[in-house]
Amino acid sequence: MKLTDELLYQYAGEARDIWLSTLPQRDAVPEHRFSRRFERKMNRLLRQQRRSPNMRRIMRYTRNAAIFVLVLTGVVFAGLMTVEAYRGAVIDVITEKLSNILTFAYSSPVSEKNTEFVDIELHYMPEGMKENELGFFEMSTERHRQFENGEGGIMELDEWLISADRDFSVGIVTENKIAEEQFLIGSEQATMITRKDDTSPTGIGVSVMWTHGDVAYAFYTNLSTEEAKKIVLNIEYLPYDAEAAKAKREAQEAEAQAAADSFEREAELMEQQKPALMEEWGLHFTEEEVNAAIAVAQQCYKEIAEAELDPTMLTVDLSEMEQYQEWLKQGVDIKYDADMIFSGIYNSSHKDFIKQHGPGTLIELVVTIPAATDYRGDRRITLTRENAQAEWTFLTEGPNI
Amino acid sequence: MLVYLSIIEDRDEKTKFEAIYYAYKGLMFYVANRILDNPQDAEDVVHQSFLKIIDLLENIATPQCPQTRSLVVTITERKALDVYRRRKRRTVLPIDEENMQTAVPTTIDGIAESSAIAQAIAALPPKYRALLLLKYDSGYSEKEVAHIMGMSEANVKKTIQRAKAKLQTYLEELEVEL
Repeated sequence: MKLTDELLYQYAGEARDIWLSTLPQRDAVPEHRFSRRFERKMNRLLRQQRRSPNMRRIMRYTRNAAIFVLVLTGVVFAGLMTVEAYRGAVIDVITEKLSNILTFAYSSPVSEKNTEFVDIELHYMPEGMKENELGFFEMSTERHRQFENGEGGIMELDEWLISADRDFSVGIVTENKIAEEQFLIGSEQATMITRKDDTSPTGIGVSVMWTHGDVAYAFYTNLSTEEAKKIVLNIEYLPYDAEAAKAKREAQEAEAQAAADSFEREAELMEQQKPALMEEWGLHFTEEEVNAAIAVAQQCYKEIAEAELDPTMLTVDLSEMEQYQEWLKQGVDIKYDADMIFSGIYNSSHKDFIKQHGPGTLIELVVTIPAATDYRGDRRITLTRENAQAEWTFLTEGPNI
Repeated sequence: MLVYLSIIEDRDEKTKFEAIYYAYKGLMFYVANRILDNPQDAEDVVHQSFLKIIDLLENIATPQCPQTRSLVVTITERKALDVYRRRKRRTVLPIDEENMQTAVPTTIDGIAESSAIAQAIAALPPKYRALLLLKYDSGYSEKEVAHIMGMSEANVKKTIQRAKAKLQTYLEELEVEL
């Protein structure tokens, strides 16, 4: 009988569970201490992710969104209807009414280092409304709070620190707008938009935008307009507590310093152990041994460069492979640097290999591909041998799946 | 439903990315390192895999669920095999991945009773298994599968056909009645 798509749909989930069961569960994954280089790269990536404005996504969601944020400059919107500017205590706000979006562009002459969030207190909280599991979320220039009442009612309060260091805009979707109202929160002008919202238990969604001090605020709820207004009018800005802010900053700095100190201590410990371990691992190779390893590595790279590509082989990006081969054909530089490889062995399972096979049975070489100017810099390759007298071979033995 | 947008959307995305990062980086390293047996290369593979995951973030609904775990492992495995092929001496390359099989356990709880079809899918070579699971379990279109795997759509279609043929052969060998 023929294998049908229906059968595949039916059994694919079960197949996935069987396959995943061959992998260790989260708690059972062998611990690996990632290198500083990896952590640096990933931290950069995580930071980039935090900053990414992702205009494409913003625009895609615009039709469904109540409020969206643009962190960019020079965006020209079609359908511009009116432009109005007013000045807050510190922050300049320009509102633009588009066909179905109302945007607020904020700017401030104040440098980011001189801006501060002030703590706030919500003196009016609708019945049953509590912070949900996302609760309070804070980054250096943003704060977000989410609340829900367990019956579909939600409210959210976002705060953005506005400074001279970045342009910042927030937009409210005005499609299906029922009402718009301007009123004062303290001495600041607030804009409240009420929209029809089929997903809300009340059938509406209410957004309120205003500024205070260095901060732009956006409030959203799917409760009534009256409740929304009552909530924002009962927000108290607590006096800026310079002492508390200083203490918080110092605590954060102390935490960062403690982490750095711990790393330093470990690095020091590694350095102290280095002479003995270099000896124990047999990393003081003779020139002849190093040259033999380099010759094997050179030969391997030559073979890779000259290998005939098999079009049926599974490769994610054949063009990249061809480029890589092209680079390799122009030759690689391979050198041995005992100091450089020590930390690699120290932080990896390579030391286990050496423990098992004896000193001088593992060598790491640094490979540079001069033609690959825009490719990631140095590579390290590892060669091993059964004993200190045997010939070098690559460590890699092949996929073990 | 929360009809809010981009800052929330944006926050969800970064929360999602960070959640994926912290939940799977250890597993990803494990997967890459068991293929490459080289911690530095494995770390590079984990980093490259995260670059790919960023690209696919919009397609990931929930950071911690079996489908996401499957996707993350698939991406890492693909990247690691790629690196492996570049490093491998001699055959550099034509690794016959199509003859590689996953050792599927048959004794752990619940698996022994699992269907022969599911076991056969799980035991397929990595590329075949990955494509079938992405399409039939995660519900990605062939175009999306092509993007995830870095293959052309035509190649995806062709490989899925091969995977089905191989699966059919397995099942016939096992004398499984469909």
